[in-house]
Amino acid sequence: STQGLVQLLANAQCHLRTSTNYNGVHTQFNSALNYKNNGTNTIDGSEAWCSSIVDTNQYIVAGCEVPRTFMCVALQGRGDADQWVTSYKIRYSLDNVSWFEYRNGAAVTGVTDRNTVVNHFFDTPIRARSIAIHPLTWNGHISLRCEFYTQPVQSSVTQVGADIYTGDNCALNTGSGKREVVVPVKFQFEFATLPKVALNFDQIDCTDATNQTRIGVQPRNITTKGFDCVFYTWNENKVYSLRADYIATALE
Amino acid sequence: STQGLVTLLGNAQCHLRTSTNYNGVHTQFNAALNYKNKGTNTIDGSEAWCSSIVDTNQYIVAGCEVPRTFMCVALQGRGDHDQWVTSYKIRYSLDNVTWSEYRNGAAITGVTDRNTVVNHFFDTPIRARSIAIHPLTWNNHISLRCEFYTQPVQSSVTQVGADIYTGDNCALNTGSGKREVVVPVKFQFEFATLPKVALNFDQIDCTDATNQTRIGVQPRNITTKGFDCVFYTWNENKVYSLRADYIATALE
Repeated sequence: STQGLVQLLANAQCHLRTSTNYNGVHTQFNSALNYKNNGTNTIDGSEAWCSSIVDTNQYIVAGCEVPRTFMCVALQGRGDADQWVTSYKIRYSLDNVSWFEYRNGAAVTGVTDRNTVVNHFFDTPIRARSIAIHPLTWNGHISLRCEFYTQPVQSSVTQVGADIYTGDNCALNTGSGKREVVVPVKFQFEFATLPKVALNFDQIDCTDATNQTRIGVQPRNITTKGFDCVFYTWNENKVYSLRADYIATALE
Repeated sequence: STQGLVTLLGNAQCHLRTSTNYNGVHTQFNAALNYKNKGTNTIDGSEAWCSSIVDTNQYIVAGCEVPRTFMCVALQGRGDHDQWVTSYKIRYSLDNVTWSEYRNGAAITGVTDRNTVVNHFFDTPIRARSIAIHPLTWNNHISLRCEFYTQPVQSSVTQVGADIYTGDNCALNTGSGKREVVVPVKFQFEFATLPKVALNFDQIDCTDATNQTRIGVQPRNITTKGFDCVFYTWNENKVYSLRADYIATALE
């Protein structure tokens, strides 16, 4: 099923390039699934991408700037003429240097009329930045509307910060029981979504009461703008100072 | 104000797709704000994107591959004809699976002449990958020039490295006072901008002189290619070995 998947063309999430165009109104602009023109406007072109040269070297390639997981390709004929692609092969590239042929270039079954959409689910998901449909056989002319279905993508943004410090001879160096020192931290720039924060020690200066080390650091009150860095110890331990770094990552 | 914001079309930072085009020279290619043709060339088309079908199902969609924060939409009429959009609605999607309507699809006031630019600032910033203008009412024809204003984006690149090691029985295991062991670290690939580096211990083997633990690790001489990892201790402490991991992140 294509439920929950991204329609790459419909969402304008890719660049589109074609080998040739029949003319300026038979281009990739008209290649989205179910693309329909105004029936009474004679100059708005084709209800499909139509190549100019008609041979097995034609293609339409969709390019993304971030890698995507392609699950399915959908094919459809030309809405306003008896032209469609009856078989095609798929080529793709992840690094945009080396290209691969799906099923070693074997023909994938296309369509047999103007408007029926035929989905082909890939045997295994294809990880790629660019992917191309290469028509192999056709009816009337190389004309097609198409769609690629991909998994939704997640972007991650990471900010790193160094040297969150309790200060010398901090409050953890006296008293007993659970004690904490709170250092507010501001991110370099605001995250768009709530980040996860990892903290780690990069300097430790503590007294080990009865040979037991007891130190900790935790984020508290995480927002998109910053967090409170909580250094702590407990029991009889004395801590002269602690220092930590953070790694904060937000996904969306 | 749009000061400090990114003009998405102006900077070619999005993919553009339209529902229909009047012909091959009335496309999204002509949709940027203040787009002007040569007055004496009769084949360079319209000073606007012009749909072919004229109904309320027409749209122009801008797609970005990384999420953006949309602050404002700008609308303008067709420069070379009395055609403009008098009201429209905005739709958008962050995950490209689910779409939402701004103000529940309520009409936004458009323009009333050829060339006046009317900005609409969103009630709250819209976080999205794709965003679309859907004309609701118009004068003569659906023709528009437009712009989307977004916050500038930050991209982060992160590299992680494991197991920076002082070596067994390192120089921190003898002597007294402030001592350090420097381990040069090279990133897997060179960063484009200076990264921030976080370091954390992942192995500690030290003697606690007079029950006081004193260890630290710090990056020094950070460049785009690498840094010096400085392990240190002080006073009478002896450290047999220390091991650390790094997380380096560059923003731009």
